[in-house]
Amino acid sequence: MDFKFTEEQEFFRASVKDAVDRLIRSRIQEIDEANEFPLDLWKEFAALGYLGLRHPEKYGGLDVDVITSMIFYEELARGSCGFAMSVTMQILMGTYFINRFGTEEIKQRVLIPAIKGDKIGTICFTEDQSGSDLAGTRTTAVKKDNGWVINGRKMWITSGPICNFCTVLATTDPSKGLDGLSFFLVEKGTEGFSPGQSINKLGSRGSVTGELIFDNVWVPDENLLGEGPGNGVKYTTDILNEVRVMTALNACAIANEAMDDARKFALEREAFGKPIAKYQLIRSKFANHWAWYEAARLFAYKAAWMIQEGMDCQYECMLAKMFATEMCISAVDEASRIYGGNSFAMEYPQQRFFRDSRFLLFGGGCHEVLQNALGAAFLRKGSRL
Amino acid sequence: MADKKIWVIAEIRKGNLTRSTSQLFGAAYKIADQKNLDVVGVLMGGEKSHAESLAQKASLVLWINDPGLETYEATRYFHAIWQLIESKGKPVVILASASSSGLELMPRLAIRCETGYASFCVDIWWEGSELVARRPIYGGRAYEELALIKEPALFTIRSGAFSIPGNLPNSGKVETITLTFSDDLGLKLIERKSTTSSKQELSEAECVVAGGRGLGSPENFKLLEELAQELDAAVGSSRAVVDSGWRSHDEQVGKSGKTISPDLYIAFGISGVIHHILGMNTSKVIVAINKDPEAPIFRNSDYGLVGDALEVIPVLTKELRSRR
Amino acid sequence: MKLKIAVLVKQVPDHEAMVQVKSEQELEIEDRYVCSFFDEIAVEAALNIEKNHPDAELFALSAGGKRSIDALRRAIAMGIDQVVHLGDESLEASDSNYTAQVLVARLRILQPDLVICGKQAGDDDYAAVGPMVAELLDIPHISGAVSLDTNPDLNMVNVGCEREGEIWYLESGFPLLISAEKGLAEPHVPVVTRVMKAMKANIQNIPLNELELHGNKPQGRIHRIRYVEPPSRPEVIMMQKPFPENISELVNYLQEKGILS
Repeated sequence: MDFKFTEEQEFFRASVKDAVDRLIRSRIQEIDEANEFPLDLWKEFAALGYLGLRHPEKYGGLDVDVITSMIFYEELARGSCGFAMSVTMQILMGTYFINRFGTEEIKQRVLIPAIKGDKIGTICFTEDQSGSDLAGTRTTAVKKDNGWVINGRKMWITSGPICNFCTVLATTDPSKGLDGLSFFLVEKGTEGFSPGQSINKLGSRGSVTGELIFDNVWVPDENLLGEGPGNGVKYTTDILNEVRVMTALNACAIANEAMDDARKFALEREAFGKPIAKYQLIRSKFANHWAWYEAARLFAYKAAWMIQEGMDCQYECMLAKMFATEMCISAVDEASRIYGGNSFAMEYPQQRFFRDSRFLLFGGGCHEVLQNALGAAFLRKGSRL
Repeated sequence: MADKKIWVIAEIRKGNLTRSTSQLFGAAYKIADQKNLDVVGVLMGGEKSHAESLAQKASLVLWINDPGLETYEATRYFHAIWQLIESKGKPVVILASASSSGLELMPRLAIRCETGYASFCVDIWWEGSELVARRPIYGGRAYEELALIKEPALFTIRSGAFSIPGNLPNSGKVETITLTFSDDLGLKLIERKSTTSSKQELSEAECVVAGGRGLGSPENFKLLEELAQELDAAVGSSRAVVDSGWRSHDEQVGKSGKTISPDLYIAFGISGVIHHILGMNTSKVIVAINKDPEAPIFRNSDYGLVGDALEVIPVLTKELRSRR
Repeated sequence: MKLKIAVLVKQVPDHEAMVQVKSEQELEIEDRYVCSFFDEIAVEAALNIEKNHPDAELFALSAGGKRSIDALRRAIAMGIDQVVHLGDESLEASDSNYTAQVLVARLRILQPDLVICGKQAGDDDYAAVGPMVAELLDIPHISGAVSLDTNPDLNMVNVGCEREGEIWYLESGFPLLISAEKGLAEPHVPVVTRVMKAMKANIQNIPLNELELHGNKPQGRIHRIRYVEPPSRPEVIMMQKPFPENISELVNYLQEKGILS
């Protein structure tokens, strides 16, 4: 066994950290308060080339391994959470199916500009009546004239209101449930495709999230991404593993930021004549957090390693996401107790950690749904798989 | 006269011997008395009056009177002092200020003399036959004490580290020296531009008033400049202020700016991040004025006042004026 | 004239890293190391010259233990392709003379026209290695450069450098050494392709026994006797009266203390 990152990975982490420190961290509060997509920062960040992290070099990508990409996501989440959401949507979900199944022409038209940051992409699963329950998808795609006609409304779409293209999940045969689903590429400017309302969110502000409307949108056959129709769910599992580990590491990063901020506070803030860091009840909070944080991070990187090794790790990824998120929710809570009344003031960052962490409960599958699947799997096989 | 000597390299700025030069004598006499050493002033360029005023502090002044040394220029000064060593023999110790010129000259000289050099020293003393210097490292987060093994021992002394010695019985001779320089020494001074608006220069000033983002706008630094005038102080700035383009970099106090040790440092609207503290925490007395009673600057201050810098500055200026 | 530029870099603790005196012989330093602030400016200044003179040849050198490799990787990530790592861990405790000797042993072979280093390193804050290297190479040097204008065809360099309250503009020919002050260049955030290149780079090491060091010793001229704690300041005295009476309260304190007359 070897739990070390390589020297190269450590250097990569330091470089990402430096980029996040210098470009993003000074703007966290401003982005949160403005709650607008920071296009200037997007362009500046895109110019560094990280948007091509997981894509082939011939399209301008970097093609790094899964663990290296996870290091990136973890460091990125130390900056603005909203901005990190826009970036990971672009790198991981927004371009995934285009890279995997797009024709050469589509890749030239969509993938290359997306890697450069000139086009913004997203993926659309959620609807008003379905989210983690994909079988409830009501958006339809009907065959017509060497192509497909898409109708429906998608909700809670990260970067939706500003996207130049999206990968949309639709059913070609509602009677088949999960086996009737497929992914389609829809580009801005296509007749019938329009953005709807943006949502004023509690946290992860600065990423724009909203509705996308498909009203008799016709796309050609080549825009059906993947063999099919009907294989959408099979592919979804592949990408969800990475999304879940990424979410776990976002959780680790937020938890660490909150607790580190609380640590500095505890060392400086005095009560009854000494820094509160000298009190045992405060110390116990740090000790407990430390244990949970180490475990969550270790688990997340183990899951990343399993993905990289091509192992079957669907449940590990779910567990890692769920565990890290719960750790984060509790860390943010404990940090705010250490921080006392100041955690309730908008001028201090603790309130933002609280708001940002809430998103983790739903992104990448809400815990109640995950627990249902995990519980069923445990009953089937036990914990030693 | 003892045959073992300490050389003190004098510096002239804006027509006067600098305050740091006078402080060097504090260091020189501290180590001279114990070992019966002579303190010798070395003046490059300048006027006879400078040499004579220096002679009040030293048993001998070596005055290199050459028009080529009118303004400091590294290579020329370096050659001058090297020639002086060759003709007069090596002293035991050479002291210079940790000023831009001192920091240029002394390391070069250390190589030429094949000897040791310690920079930014805040104290020096003898331990047996070894000269020991204390100097801050890691921006003042720790100090180290070094022994200089070879002669001459070379030091640059941080401004403010030593007090100017009081009545010195000395009234030394001035020995005028002429040297020859080759025409082409490599560097040529083309132009000098002043970058500071205050009369006082930051690293030389006995008192510094510094402003941070708490001043609200670059225009409000006028209030600080008025106060500086009242106190005969220099104006300093936090990094945030310099990075926002409100003030020029040579006013910046902190790790990537200047490290200063005035007798009195007053910080207005500066929160006191570690970067800033490292630049001023060796000041003798530190006063902080900040709106936020929790601001870290207070933990590194002698006196604290919770209040809005913009309200405090004019009242303080008036108060000082009324007490004159 | 094709310019050859050597940049000297060093890996040092981040300025926010915790540094504590553990004993007289040992410091405890938090494991947060970065390429020294002024050294990154030096690297960027060299890259700026390369923009105007694409045929310029750039090198980065670092003398020290394994950490130096990270400073060199940083230089690669920023845009310098040729880097050399000199020596080993034994250099971490050496005096500036020895470090300068090690660098010069290599620089004598490279024969650069311009050497750029940081004004001072972010660890020992010595500000000595640059001028020492210049003296050993017998070339002029200018400390605290804030502007740099090179004209290799006329064998001319114009350097603006910070003096107390002034900026001086000096003219020199090549070869020359300058040390970088804040303002000389604005280090950019490296693009990821360069980061990857730096990650994968195989960095050449030249051991001390292959360098001509003329019998110099790591602590041959200075030796460290001990580390000591920085002096501590007594508890702050806060003004108690309301505004504006607290102003005279403050002035009274300063007069009592003899700091104001």
